[in-house]
Amino acid sequence: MDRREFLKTTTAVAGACAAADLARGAFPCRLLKTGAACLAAPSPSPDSGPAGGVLEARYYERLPDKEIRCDLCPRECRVGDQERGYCGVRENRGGTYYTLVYGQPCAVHVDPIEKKPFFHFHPTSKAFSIATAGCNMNCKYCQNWDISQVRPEQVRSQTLSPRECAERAREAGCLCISYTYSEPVVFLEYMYDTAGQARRAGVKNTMVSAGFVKEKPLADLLERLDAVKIDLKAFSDSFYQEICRGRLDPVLRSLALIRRKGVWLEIVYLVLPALNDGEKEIRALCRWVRSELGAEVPVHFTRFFPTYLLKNLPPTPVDTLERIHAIAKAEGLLFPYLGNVPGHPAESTYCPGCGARLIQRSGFNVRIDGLKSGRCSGCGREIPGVWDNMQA
Amino acid sequence: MKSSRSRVVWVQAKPVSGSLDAGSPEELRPLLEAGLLELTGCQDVASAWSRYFTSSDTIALKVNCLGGPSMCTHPALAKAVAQSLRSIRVPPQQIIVWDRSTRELDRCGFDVNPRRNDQVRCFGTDQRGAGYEEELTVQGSVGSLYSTILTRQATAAINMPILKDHGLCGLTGALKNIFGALHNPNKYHENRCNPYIADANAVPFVREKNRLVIFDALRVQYKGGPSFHSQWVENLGSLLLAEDPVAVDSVAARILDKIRGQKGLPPIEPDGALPAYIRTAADSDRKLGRCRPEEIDLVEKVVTVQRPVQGEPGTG
Repeated sequence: MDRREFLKTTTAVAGACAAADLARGAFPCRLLKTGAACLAAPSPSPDSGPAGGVLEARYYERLPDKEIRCDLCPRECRVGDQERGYCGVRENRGGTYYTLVYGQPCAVHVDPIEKKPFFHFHPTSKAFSIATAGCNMNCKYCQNWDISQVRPEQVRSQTLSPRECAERAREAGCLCISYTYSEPVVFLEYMYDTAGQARRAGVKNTMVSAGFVKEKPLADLLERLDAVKIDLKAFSDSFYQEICRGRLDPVLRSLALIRRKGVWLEIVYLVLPALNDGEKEIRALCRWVRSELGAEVPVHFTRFFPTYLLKNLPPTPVDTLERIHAIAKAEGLLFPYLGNVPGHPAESTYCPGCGARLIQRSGFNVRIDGLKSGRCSGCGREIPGVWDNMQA
Repeated sequence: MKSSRSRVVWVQAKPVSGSLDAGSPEELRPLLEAGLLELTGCQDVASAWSRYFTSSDTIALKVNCLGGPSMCTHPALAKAVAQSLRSIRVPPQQIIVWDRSTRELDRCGFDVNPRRNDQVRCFGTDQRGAGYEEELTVQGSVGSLYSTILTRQATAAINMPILKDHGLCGLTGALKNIFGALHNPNKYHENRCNPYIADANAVPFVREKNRLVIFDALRVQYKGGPSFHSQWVENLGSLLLAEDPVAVDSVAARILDKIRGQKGLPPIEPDGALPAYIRTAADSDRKLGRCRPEEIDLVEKVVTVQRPVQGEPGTG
């Protein structure tokens, strides 16, 4: 099959996803700026959850004088009465801490699973993708900053209870709900309850996160998740502090915990020119992944494009990505990928045993060539991933 | 900064009888105008206001409502300012009393009025027709969307903070009041808000439009701030006026420490120093004002306040 034929046969998959978006009234949400508009949100239903999305938060400790300490993420915000945590979506009201975004997604969309990206988790399936406002980090290159770096009252949200969300995902023919776009950790209560409803409805759950979360809430959450993609921002703590306002160690602990719990894990590493693309750093990252997580964990090295507060950097050169890909292979990672480079051969999955191409990708166009029942059709090698129910 | 020193005026009310009625614009106006004359050295109020504003200005009065009705900029003080500005013929509708949200202003007792009628306007950034800028303003450590009330509607501004302790940064005063103009202040409370507060004030349009600070120190939250805690409130009956937000915050921090000392509490910074963000605001990179006592002329003035005759019509 040549490239033209490949594109022709696979465009239908993406088209089906797009059609589902429209059919379900899904909409991308924008910051409510002067003159900006969103498509209308569905009306609240009797099962729309707490009024205005306000529900007592989980994982916090009350302190004297109406203060609280949040135990959700390693930041451990100490929040006075009437103030909010760093995430901007949790508020202290008289000494009780509340989430303000329960059942209030500001983005609801049906995406191909490859957009997350998950390459080893039900390829070609659809993910019912939701997000609320807020994030507990502030990456200078956030591509979704207009929902992640704002407060709930600054975006237009719709009311969607956990049960409604699960139902809509099932009706849309989605294999999973994906908690994504902003930072799902900050809407953990909503995610956790929705994941429970989804499981009862036969819908799986995936999370796309930076992994900057404390162990207890993550462990609780993992009981209801089927796959997690972690954005590993860099392999240096100074990068985390200066560029993302986070820390590296808690993220590494989250990665290890996800593996220990047996939840499917993929990693994305966005490559920023001159900031996190050094050979020494990439080798150290790859060695850590291989030794602590396993060589079979897919790592997506993706291309950066200027945005938000980092508009002075050029896009990542493709040859930089190719150099990093070669380092990852040399360091023994079995499934290094390149991302945001549509049509590049390193988007596809190859058998580590015989080298045969198993899944061909170009952007969100996917064709499963040589994978059958989770094994290489050529040499029979088992390929790590979650492959059942996939469309062959 | 034009001169080599900064002037801060601390006016304290001395009521003829009883205590100061902080809910009365008529009682607060003499205090305000005495401070204004002392600050400017002018002989009359109109001349003093004319130092900062003209009748064609749209003047935004940034108040602070976070602490609720018991610990906010007094609505009567904003009214007194609006009344006094009539001396230079600023039409009421060209005065905007504002903060983050209309709901908070309403809760604090301000006369909410988003319409363009012949009254003082009063609304929050969340009001329809206001909102935040679409483009980020980036200045040092800060990348934020600023309120269009400040960026587009106002041609000039008066900063009207209140004097409060702040658990995370030491002091809520003139410099920190700018957080109420940003879409994402929650991102700037780390490291005792340093250098974020200074950077948020270093934006050119903030520096240019903020011409005057009228610091409401009628009541002081000396512990437990920024939220209201009745057990730690001191009635100081004072206003602070200055052009230099760094200098007035420096004075306010000293006042706060003095009150805390009288109450047996430690200073807001362990070593008695100024909060770091104030020192950063004064540094050679930002030059937002002066913070060293030897560079500040602090003028203290006691003003006798006559209680208006009952039934005297208000001018608000």
